[in-house]
Amino acid sequence: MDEWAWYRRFILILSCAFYGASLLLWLFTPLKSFAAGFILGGLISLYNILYLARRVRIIHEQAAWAVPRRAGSGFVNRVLMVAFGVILAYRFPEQIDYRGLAPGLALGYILMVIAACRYNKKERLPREGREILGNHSEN
Amino acid sequence: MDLSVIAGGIMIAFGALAAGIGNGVLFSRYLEGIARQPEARGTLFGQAMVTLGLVEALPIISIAFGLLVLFGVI
Repeated sequence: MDEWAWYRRFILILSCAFYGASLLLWLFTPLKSFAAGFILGGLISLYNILYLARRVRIIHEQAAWAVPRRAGSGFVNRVLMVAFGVILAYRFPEQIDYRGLAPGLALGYILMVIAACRYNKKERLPREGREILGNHSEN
Repeated sequence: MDLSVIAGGIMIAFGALAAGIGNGVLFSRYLEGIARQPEARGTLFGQAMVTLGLVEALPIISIAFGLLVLFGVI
């Protein structure tokens, strides 16, 4: 499994945990609009990340095969998704709170950094162990 | 004209400008790295995605807040 597949799995699992917690918040507490905003922001953020990964892969393939017309990175699409979420929060302020939407939009990126830290830790520890073992065997 | 419109416009414009510059530099370095070392593709892709996420997080949030300022919610 390559590095990004591991990241993607980690991000999806943690996102599902956050959505589950937000759903419980939405069901059993009076913070319904905040939880709805957080879920909406988180979903948009997750879409943005997965879409970015897909576009980067397409650009990579096109560069490898020297296709003359290059694809863009899809920035406008991602911005429009964010605008869609904000417009929904503006249109239905009773159901979706913008104070939940804003941290939700950052959720995916924060999870990606956490995934990178975790992956580096996971990869570094066995490598250091191998180096230590290698030194012992040399001595 | 209301000043919040100008404020929202500045937030969105500079956010998009910064994201454009950051993404351009990152994509060019990523493709350059793959061209130099095609076997490191998997590692480079993961690292490029993390860095792209970091570069994009701030503009996306600034655009969201800019739109909220533009609509007069905040």
